[in-house]
Amino acid sequence: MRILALYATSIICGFCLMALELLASRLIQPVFGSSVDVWAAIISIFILSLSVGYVIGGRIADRATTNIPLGWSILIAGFFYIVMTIYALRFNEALPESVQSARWGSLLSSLVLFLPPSLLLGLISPMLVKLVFVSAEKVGTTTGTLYAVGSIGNVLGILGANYVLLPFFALNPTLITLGAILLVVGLAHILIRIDSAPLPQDSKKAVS
Amino acid sequence: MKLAAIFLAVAALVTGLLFQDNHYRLRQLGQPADQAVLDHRDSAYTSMTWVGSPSENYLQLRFFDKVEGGLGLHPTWAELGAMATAGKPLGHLWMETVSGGAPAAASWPAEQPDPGTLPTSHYVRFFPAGVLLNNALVNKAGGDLRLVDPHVLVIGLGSSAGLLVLAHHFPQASITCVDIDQKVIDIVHDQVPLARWLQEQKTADGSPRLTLVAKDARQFVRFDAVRQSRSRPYDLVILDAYTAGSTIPSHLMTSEFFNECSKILAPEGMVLGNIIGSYTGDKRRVVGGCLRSLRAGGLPEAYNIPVISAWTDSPSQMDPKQARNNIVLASRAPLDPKRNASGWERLLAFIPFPELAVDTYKSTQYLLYDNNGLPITSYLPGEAVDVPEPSLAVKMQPILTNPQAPQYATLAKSEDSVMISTVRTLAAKWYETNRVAKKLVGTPMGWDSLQQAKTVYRREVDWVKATREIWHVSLRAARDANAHGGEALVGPVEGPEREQAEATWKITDAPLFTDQMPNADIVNH
Repeated sequence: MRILALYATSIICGFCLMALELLASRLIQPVFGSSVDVWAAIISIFILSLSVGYVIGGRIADRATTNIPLGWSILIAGFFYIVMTIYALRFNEALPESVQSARWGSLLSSLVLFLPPSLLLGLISPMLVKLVFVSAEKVGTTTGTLYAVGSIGNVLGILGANYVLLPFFALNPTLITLGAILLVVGLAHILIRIDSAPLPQDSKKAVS
Repeated sequence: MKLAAIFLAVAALVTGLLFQDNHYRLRQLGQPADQAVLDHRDSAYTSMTWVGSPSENYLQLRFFDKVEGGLGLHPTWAELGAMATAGKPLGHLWMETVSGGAPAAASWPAEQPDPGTLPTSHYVRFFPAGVLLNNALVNKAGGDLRLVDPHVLVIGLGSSAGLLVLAHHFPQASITCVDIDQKVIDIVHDQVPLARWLQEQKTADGSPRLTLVAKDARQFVRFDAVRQSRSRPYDLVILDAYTAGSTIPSHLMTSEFFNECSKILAPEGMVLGNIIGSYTGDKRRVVGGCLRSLRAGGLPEAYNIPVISAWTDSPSQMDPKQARNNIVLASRAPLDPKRNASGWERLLAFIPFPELAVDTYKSTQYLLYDNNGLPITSYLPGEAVDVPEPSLAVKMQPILTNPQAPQYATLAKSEDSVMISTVRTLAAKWYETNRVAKKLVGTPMGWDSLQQAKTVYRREVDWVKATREIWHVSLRAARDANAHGGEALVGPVEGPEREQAEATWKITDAPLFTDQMPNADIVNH
């Protein structure tokens, strides 16, 4: 049950992350157009945010013993999804022309708009690794499965956004719905406590 | 194990380098057999091939395997120049350049074709409609089209055929074209000397006749066009941007974008869009959605002209479900035939390319079919058959005699086996003698299975006639009928109202494209 809840979290967060990456073009295009620069900006900022998120998330995971930091990360990410509908387009339009028409303009816009939510969703991967950890012998299996499940969420997010969300729903309601889903998942983690399994003793320490 | 890894790596590299497939496929059924690649370039957005075919009289720019548009090989610019110097009214193509005087015909390599302004693609011929319907503009020039000076923004360059049509008819036009892809601009610059030369020319008020800008159109309209429109608003914005996948970039098809366009337009200025879609059926949503979004974007007067192009088409036989090019027009001033009667009078009286004679710029081809009615060869050049044996053309039976349809093309057929074998032999002989001299790419497709031919068709197209007939037939169809009233019913319509709408060619369920739901690209598929 506990492991299923963690996998479900991974799938949902993976879904929301990649759905945002596809929706990102709709937020950027009215101002920055649809050049290759725009896609390069979006993809690079998402990957960059994730890598920074992994580093920070790893540090937090080492100290944490419960799922509460995980819950907060998801909750705040959901918050950003929702408030983005207020400031994203206004921010892009407020940029001076020299930035809007520069090739790196969309990079700056993506950094400001998409770094916070995708970094927060990047935090959760190492935290989930720690929470699904059961024993040192199974560490490969559990993390492998976790990555697989998260990636399935990514795939569903891309396909879902492409075939369902973009054609049938407007941008703002979609972002708010995705944000609401993240808020619920985050709250659930804050309210329902999951403890991480005790880690094996450091081998050197054990010998000494 | 290590050896295996090294072997695999080397094998992968070698296979890739040897068998990579990066060339445009010319040898396909339904392509002219004398087609040649003149240029090929790849960009971040597309893969472009510039091809020419003497038998079909075209130079075409293809994006992957899709024909964007084309220019007639004849009349060449040099031929137009000869006409101009002989006193024909083509002086506007030879206006004084900045560098002084007319350009020398030898200013580009002799072996490179120098396309003139006559297009072989259908919809670009309608670009002048955006000028002719503008009463303020034409009246300012006293009705003389040579003095009309439209300020035009074209979104999407393609082969530049549409720009050249405008430049041909309106020598005082100042045209700016914005395209996202610098490589498209480069290939046009290198392959169309006329487009290159127009960039050096100035109109009477000193504006360049043609300016090419590499930028995203949304950005160009937002900044550059707004600045330019402060000193001189645009009279015409032409939407002709398509992706390599033949969809319209979604951010260039929203009411917000159209609103930005409306702000750079003069009071009677208009937007003219080339929209591929139908009146009913699956593809109706693009045309209807474009009309609806234009209206919502501050251009309440919208009108649609379906381009009736194939020689089998006639207005009464048109299938409303079939996707075709549509010329969507939108303005603040009235555009419909009743309220803008003078504009429509001008449209219908207009003769495209008035200086060029019919029966002069033609293309002829033969095509062999098997007994299942499927083509078994590429189009064979007419000269291969018609020159040595002109009587064959006479013996063939004309088909497609629809009095209402455009008559610019004649199609004749024969099932006589002697005739087929003669065509076969003559074409083969032509290839033997011309392959090297004309630098033909390999043998034509299906050459080995020629003996299966059961039917031979001969097709002849008169390009000047085509330009004029398509113009007139399409405009008359759009004007006459309640049939093509161009009124997009918005929102879902069901039941009898829907049936009636489809029967009268009204578009139902037109979506509103906004930045929030800019799905022109998805709807188009």
